[in-house]
Amino acid sequence: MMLAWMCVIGVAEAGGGPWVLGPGDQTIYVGMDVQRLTQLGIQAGPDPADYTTIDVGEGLSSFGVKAIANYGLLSRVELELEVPWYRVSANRVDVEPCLALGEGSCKTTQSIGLLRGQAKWLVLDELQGMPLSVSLGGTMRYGGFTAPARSRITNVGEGTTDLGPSIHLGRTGGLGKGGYWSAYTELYWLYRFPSTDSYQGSDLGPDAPVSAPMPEWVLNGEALFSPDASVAFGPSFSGLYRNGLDWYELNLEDPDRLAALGVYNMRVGGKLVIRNERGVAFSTGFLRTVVSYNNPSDAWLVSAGLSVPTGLGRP
Amino acid sequence: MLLEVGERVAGRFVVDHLVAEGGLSEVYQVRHIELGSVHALKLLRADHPGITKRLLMEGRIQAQLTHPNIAPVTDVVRHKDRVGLLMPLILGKSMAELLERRVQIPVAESLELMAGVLCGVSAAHGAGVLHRDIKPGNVLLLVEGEAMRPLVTDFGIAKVAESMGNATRVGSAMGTPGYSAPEQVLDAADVDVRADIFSLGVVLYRMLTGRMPYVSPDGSVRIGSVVSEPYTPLGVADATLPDALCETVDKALARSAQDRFADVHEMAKALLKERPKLLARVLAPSGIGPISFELPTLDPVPDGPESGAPGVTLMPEAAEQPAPTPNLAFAPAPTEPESPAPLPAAEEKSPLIWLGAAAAVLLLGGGLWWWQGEDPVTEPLAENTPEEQLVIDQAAALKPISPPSPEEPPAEPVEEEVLLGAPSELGEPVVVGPGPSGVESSGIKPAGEKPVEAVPEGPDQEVPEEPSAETVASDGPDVVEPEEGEDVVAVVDPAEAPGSITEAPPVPEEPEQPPSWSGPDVSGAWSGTAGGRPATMLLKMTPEGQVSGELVFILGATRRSFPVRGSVDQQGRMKLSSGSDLSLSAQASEASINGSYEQGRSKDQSIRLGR
Repeated sequence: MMLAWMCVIGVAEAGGGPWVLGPGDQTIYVGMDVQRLTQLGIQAGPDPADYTTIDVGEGLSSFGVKAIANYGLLSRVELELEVPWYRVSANRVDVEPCLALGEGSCKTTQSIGLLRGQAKWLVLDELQGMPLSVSLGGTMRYGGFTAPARSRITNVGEGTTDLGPSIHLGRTGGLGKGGYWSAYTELYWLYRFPSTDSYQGSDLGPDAPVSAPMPEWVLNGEALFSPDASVAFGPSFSGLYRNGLDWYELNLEDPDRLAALGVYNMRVGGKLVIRNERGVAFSTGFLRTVVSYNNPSDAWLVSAGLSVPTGLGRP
Repeated sequence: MLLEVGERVAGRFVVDHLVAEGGLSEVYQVRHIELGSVHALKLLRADHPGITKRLLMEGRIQAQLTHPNIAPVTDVVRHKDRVGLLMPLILGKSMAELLERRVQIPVAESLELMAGVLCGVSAAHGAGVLHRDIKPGNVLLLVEGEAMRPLVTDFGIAKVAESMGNATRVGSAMGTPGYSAPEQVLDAADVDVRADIFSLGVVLYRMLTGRMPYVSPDGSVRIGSVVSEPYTPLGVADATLPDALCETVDKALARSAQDRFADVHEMAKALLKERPKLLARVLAPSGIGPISFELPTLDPVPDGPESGAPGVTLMPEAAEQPAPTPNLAFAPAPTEPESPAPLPAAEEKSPLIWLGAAAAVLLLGGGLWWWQGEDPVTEPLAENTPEEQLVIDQAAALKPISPPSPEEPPAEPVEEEVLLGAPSELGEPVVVGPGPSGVESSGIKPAGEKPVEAVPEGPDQEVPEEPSAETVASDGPDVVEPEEGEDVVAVVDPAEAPGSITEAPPVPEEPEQPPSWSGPDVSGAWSGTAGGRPATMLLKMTPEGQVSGELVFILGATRRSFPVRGSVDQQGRMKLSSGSDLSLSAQASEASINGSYEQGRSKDQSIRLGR
């Protein structure tokens, strides 16, 4: 569900932006994040005025840890691998919408989340005189571990395998004496191999099957301002769009009910990075939902992690 | 902000020109308005309490250590919110410049020079002052006819007994890598006279062999080298040196203070027993009592000074004053640690509050935490003083100067006020700012400018001829900016003022050996900016000047590295490349790399890195 997805696209620490590691360079990121939401905005009827906000199980909480490894394969190509683990729970299972979704819909879920692999190719390099750094990438996600619990509102994924390209744009520059700034934005398109191609909503006829889930667009961005090489901070944002059904169109008996939802949201927040001269970086950040549709409307995400460069070439 | 030419200072002086500048201070040639005398003014850059105190301490010490082998300070000057020390101009070069040029000094000449240094250090010790930063850059060589008189200078981190309100923090390491004694490296507040003995031994070792005694396997000299690296005995470094000399130097360089000479006199007796006249000079009373810092009563030592040999006079004043016994206020402590304590942890530049958060992450995640690779630099290098920086940055046109014949009495000390400047063959002066002609120069007056007139005091001294103008063109980046904390003393090379000094060719005592690498050692970690972006550079250098390493950019949360290879010559000119992507040309010193790099379409991107 959207909650698990939010866990995946959190405060990216390793590999954010178009920049790639040098050949043979490696970084390891180990982090954690905590999310909390209490309300879900849903389109409860065909009329736009039917959009409403409902409480969700007296609040849902998730706790996740993840490890992300980045490797500079060639001078302009970087590989990334992410392995997350999550625990998602509802404060109460005897309230709506847990009752409406049926037994077990708010059961606590503990599982490996979406395994994600990414390759990024730096096609334009600002260090070589280009106005921007631009990378093209490809992402693959494997959600097999999340499939058994995908029908829960407390799921950590929708059980699908996803594949798609991405584009990353960014730029850095000097800031005052000894400082610098960086900013980037990146856009993903993910084709999600559907769990079903013939999902039918309870109010839809047999002539209107839809895939569940449908492809997604993801947009991230971040700006960091650094008075010196040891600290950087700045705003960040993350957005998602996926076509699909409205809440009132769902067949609540279907295990892919949540994957069939059409959703969008936008979250904004900030990030702080503290780095020592060895390149070890501690980062922390937060995101808060500011816009949502068929998605949690008051979700908070706080993350923290440590990134360590390893295997840097030594003379 | 630099002073302007012609600017009035303290109502008594007018600025002639900037001679040199460092991270903490600037040196100007100034002229007394009414007297017309010319002086050197060392002016702090900013009014910082700690640094001001250090400068004033330096001035007080040197002002009270009136000795022919100690560079004098004559006044404290306050200009606006800045403090400075007034000193006579000194015609000569530093020992560091001499070693830069000649690499090795013959035994006889080395002992002659070392005797003068021992005289100065002995006088300081006798007054209750530890220098703590003895090195070639802090020994000026005043040219007197055909001889050179060493002047110990820069008592900026000297320790004056215990009752002065010592500015040294316990646990701090001060001094210069390779010259500081092991116990000083570990705790600069807990040293005695034997720390200076060690430094004197390193200086002598360097003079005799052209090398440093404690060197890391990669050839670099780091602050911890004297603690952790093996010692190369002098006899091994140069098998042609006399055994007695080797034994003396080896003893001075003992890692444990207990194994060294107890004081300068003891070292001098071992070193100069074949040269009684030089020995007599060192052992003669300095005429300096304990300097006035409310020192405790000093105990006399049983090993009093020998009377000077007939006909040998160090300085006229000594004969007229009572001869105090040498001060052993810093006598060796009864117990000394057998082995050095672990080195203090390297000072982190960034706050460590993330450690707590990291521990929490690891406890919760229990993930893949492993650390590979060596940190190229395990401890920070001590900053160079400007004297060292001056030597490193410039290749002075030094000519060898022969020592006086052992039979001749030493020349009487004479204050000569002549032009002071910082010559450079490279065109990479520490001095910034235009000279009087508006052209960037090393401080030596261009033609047409009225030179500083010497003020001879002896009857036989010549007035130096007007030096010819020399403007050193710079063919590299603009200026090498010394690191903060560096001090500046400028010395002019008399060879740059033709006609004023006639120098005899050296007396060849030993066959010239091929010079070893004397250029800057660029090995280690550098950080700064490259093209306006934070960057670090990790370099390794062979003794032949071949360099390899990597240039790392910080881009957002990403570190991007480019392997580089190339060379650096003995003048510090560096050229590196990384395939066809990146090429870098820079001027390197021991403390900074400044230049430009090109990468793809990025042309003429500045690169400025420091240790």
